[in-house]
Amino acid sequence: MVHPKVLQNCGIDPEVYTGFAFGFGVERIAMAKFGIEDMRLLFENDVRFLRQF
Amino acid sequence: MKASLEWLKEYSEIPVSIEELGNILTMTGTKVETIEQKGNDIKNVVVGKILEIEKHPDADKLVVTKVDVGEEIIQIVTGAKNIKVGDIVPIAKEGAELPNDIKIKKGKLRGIDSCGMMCSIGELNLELQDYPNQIEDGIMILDKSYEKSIGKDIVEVLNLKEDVFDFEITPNRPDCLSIEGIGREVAVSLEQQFKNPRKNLEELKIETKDNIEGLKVDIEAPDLCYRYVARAVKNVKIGDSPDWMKKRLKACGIRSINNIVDITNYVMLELGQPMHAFDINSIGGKHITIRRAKDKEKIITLDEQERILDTTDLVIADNQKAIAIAGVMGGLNSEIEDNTTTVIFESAVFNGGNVRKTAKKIGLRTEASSRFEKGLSAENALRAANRAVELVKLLGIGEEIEGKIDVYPTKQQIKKIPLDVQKINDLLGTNIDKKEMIKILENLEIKIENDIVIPPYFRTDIELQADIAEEIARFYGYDKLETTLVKAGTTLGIRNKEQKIEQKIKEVLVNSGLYEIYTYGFISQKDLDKAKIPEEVRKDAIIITNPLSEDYKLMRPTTIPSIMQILSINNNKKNQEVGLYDISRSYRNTNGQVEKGEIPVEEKILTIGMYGEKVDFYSLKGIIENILEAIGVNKYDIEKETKNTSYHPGRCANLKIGIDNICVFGEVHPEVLENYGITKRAYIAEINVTKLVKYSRSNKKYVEVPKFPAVERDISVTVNEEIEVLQIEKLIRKISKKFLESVELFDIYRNEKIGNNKKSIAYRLMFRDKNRTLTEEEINETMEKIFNELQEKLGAELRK
Repeated sequence: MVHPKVLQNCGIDPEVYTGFAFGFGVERIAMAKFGIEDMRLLFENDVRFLRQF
Repeated sequence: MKASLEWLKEYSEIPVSIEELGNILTMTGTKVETIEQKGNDIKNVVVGKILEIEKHPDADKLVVTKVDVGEEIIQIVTGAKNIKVGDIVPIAKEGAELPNDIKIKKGKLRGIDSCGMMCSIGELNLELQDYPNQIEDGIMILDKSYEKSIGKDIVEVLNLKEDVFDFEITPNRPDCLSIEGIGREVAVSLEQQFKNPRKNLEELKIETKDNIEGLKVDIEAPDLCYRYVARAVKNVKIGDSPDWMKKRLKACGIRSINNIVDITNYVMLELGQPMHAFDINSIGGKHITIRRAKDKEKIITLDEQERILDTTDLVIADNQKAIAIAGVMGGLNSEIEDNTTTVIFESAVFNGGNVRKTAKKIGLRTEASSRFEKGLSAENALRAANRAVELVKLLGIGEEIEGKIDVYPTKQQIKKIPLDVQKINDLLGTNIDKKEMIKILENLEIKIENDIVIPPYFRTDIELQADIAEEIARFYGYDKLETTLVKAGTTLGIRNKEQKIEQKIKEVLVNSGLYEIYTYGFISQKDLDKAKIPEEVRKDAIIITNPLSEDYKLMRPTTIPSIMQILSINNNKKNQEVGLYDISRSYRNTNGQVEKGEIPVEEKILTIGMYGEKVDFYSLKGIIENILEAIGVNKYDIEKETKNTSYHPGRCANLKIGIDNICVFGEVHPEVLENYGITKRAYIAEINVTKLVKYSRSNKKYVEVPKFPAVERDISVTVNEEIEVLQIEKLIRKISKKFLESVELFDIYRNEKIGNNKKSIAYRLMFRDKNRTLTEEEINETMEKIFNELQEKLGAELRK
């Protein structure tokens, strides 16, 4: 849940609105989905890796 | 915030395992990052006494010893030089385990049985700093008092076992940057009684005085310093702290300095209130003022660095000079010395935001500033000062001076909040009844009087209904909240123009067999050198003030180093055919004003990098032209580029639309290739997508399909090597403007027959008139003209 003070600082009336926020790291989701064990592979850009997707 | 299990046990019974406690605390919002269990990696190491030392019959550097390990006497062969008969030493017996996965087995050394090992402090993973009487390259010799412990486990004898949590405390809970605060969370989370071992501090009655030992305090900036408490001790004997105190400090990651400084750090860890101690004699005029610094006022802090302040910073000063930067660090000029006898303990509370700004500006974030910046409770300050005096008495290192100075101009306001059960349940999506809410709050020492919530002084974070809801959720259990679908309006998401164009570009690239890559935005000066980036680009690089490492010191003003690095990685891995692209940003300090707060120019750059058998300058050009066609750009000029130092001077081109330079592409300069260890030709392109987008048109209109046939002619000419394909093409277009529909390069050919330094180039031309069929004569005439012109202007020879 977004803290009402944060909403207020953004010019949103916390008496009227509530907010929630979340975020996922796409790398971690990709790792889980494709069974990638080392995150560095995603940034190494070896074509033999890239070709698989 | 680190906290040892042993210390936390002062605050609550802990009837669960350390792992379980970690899980429970994480679930109630005190997130455990790591649990370090020291001493678990030492097994079967005992205290032993050396009874005999004899020379090894077959080795000059070894001795054979007999050691009493309690139940038996064992023989150990060793090369150690610092041992003598009667020494008490740690013995790793047969089957012992030592840190770093070392296992001790029985063995023979030069033919003599050895049934164990004598240990050095390093082998037990101990530090010289904690055992100053020991040596690093020899056996650990324990003093004679350990004779009574022969045969006992060294882990117990030296008290090496220690379980330490590292907590990630959220910024709204500065009270949990203390053992007391975490101890409170432990007790509530485990549904145990909070033992409150410092209860006596609340009951102390200390008289407030105008001065102590002649020392006076004035707060000139009550907006930045809310409270200043001073207490004093005399006849202080500066020395080492007791082992228990050193051990607790060390477990929390703080180095022992001397007993007085250690007390200030101990109180900070225990109660969360940073303290400062100074020698009363170092206070000029015995008058402390808490004031704003003067412009360019200088102070040398305890870390021996000179700091230059301005009028936004707060200092603690005597009648002449600043003696501390408030909330950040003390000054060297008032440091506790070995001959200090009267010590003032300062326990003050400052404006959090101001401490944060000062600490950030001077680049000095300390244990103190990281607590103050979150906004501490002013009510806690007096307890801390009293605790410091209590510890001096407990350690027997000085005498209490009666009375206190307590300047408290800005009282801590306790926010009273009406308990709105409905609103809390609405926020949480729960149906918790009022009684349960009150029970949770009361466990947390939050009072409820006539449905008004009154938080305790240490909970500075509770100000709104949502903050109360958070407390309820933490102890009701986040895992018990039901999963429901969001009831809210949604908006349709569509791609904007730039995103649509980007998608089309990616389609073309993928269809051309390229793979998308992802690169970092940070590079180093060395990367710019390697890629021979020209000076006018280099000067735009933004220097990071606080880089992760030297390799990431700059924000890249160009993407060339990024693509070159990836090509190099692929080349090192012996990948033969490589085609990559990356759409990301470059960052340029174009106006040189970023240091003054201007936003850098961040343009979206498509970078292409390729090498391999099937790749040349023309295939790269083809891909770029396909991109332009796909996004509806048909008017552009391609010109030769010879000055860009990253590219091969003869095989590089600029693509312009109007006055905008949209793209540079070509073969990588041989020196750059060498710098990256690439042994074959590589081709790269930088396309400014931000600029290109402006020229994209998608308003296609039908054009009537031609009724009359086209005439196709090939022309093949031999020219000198330095003549560019572009020149030939331009000339052809110029001459045959009227009927020419298209001109397409389909072959470039070199061999000895046509001569050295020459190339043969073949084009296919299509002619058409939309109103009639063209005659053979007309075409022949045009072809003749083209050839004559090529011959005249470019010295071309016609190939048959």
